[in-house]
Amino acid sequence: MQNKYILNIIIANLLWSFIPVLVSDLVSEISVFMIIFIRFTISGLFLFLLAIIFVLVNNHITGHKPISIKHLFENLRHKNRRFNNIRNYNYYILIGFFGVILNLIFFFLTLKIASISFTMIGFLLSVIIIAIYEAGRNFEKFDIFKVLYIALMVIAILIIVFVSFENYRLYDDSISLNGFIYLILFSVFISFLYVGINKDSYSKLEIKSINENKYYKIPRLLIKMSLSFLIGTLLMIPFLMILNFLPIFHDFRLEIVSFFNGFSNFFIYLGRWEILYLIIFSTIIPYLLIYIANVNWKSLNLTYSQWSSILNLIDPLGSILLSVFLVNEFFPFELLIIFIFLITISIILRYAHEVKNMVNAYLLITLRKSAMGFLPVKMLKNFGIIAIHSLIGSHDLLINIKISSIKDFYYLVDKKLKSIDYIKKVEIYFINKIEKFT
Amino acid sequence: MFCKLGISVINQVIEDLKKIEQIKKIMSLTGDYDLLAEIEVDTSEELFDIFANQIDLINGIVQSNTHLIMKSWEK
Repeated sequence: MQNKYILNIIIANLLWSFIPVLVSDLVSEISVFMIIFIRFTISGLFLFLLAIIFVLVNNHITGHKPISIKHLFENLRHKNRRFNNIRNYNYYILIGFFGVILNLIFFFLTLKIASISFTMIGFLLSVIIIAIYEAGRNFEKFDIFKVLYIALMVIAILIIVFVSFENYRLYDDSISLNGFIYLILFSVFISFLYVGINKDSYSKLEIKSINENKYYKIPRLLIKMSLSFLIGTLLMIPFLMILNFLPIFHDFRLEIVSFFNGFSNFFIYLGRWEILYLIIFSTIIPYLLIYIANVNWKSLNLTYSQWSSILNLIDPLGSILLSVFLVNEFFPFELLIIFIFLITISIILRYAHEVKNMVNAYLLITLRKSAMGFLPVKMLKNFGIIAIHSLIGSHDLLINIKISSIKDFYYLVDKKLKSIDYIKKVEIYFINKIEKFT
Repeated sequence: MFCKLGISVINQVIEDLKKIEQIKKIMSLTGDYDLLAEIEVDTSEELFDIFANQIDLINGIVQSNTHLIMKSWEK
């Protein structure tokens, strides 16, 4: 079953890889900001509506436990313990504006000035930025696999840079300073998105709801993304208004003017097949695919978010291949083969790194009296705890932990669990190998 | 069911346990116990049958500690 849902992640990334080819001509006709505004406003509204419809169908047509719309919105006030304890509505604002909107603004601006291949450097650079962040913030070890896949990223970036400069030399052109700045900013904001989007946490009430009806996760995810999109696009307007008064690059200012002037043609732009494709095939369908994978993921080994981060290199690889074969972008064949090889090996090395560092363990817990009723749900809120089973036997609870490093494991066990007064004894069993799984 | 095994029998015990249809998951462990097997049955009669007529006959299991799962929570 897990293999089937890996396919969802692959297909989502392949659909996203079409975006640069689609948008590279569109940005010369329509403001970058307008493309983003239309795409995420319409997608956000649609996903929000889909969440409500899903809840109504669940509650009135299927036999599943009802999902409360009131609780779904009460969740917005819940504090996200994995993101500096800020309230969820603030978390969605940050993800929506900085993670989605700003990332895409600079992505599209780079595409407008530079080639598709050059723009893809942003994705590869984000892998390196995130690796450095994880080493600095979480003290994640630089094992041989991580060192190798970062080295391969650097070589892949150098190949693209070489190809880009050759391309510019052949066409007697050059890349402007703006292009480099937009590329760096794109890379920073997409790194923020990748790190931030997975730092979601469930409240006690939500964990109860998920256990009563596993499909609760779907409207929750739909509301998360739709609100992130809608808030992001709304904030874009005052942001651009303010920027217009600041000393910024001339092309940036032209984009802002074109955006505000473009509102009169909003519905004309909405009718263009490229915009409709972006909304349906590059936003709604990929996000639905990954939500379905997320909800149905049976974690045999790696979690959904680990597979998602391993496979997101398919997006830039696909974009470069499509740019070469569909729009004849310059990329010498031998270097293209080497590039494909490097990215493929990076994906494998990344998988090896995640598997090697993954800690999969069971805890057998003995409790003091009167804790069984409330403690399991409270403990399940902790990151890394996948499942809790209450037992009849010599122990009271069996806890399944799946976490990405031994440091995080010991933090969870020593700082979070052993500090709970109701826990009398903890026995740790590390899983060496899963011999059978049906 | 947590199992403690004798010396050098783990592979054979795993193969014997794999043949039991009601055992859905087998994991080798580091800790006081060597194996964890998850068993799913519909009745206590079936559980008795598995233990008495299949698991109890497997050479190599020195000690076992069985727990019944009352309720599970996942996220």
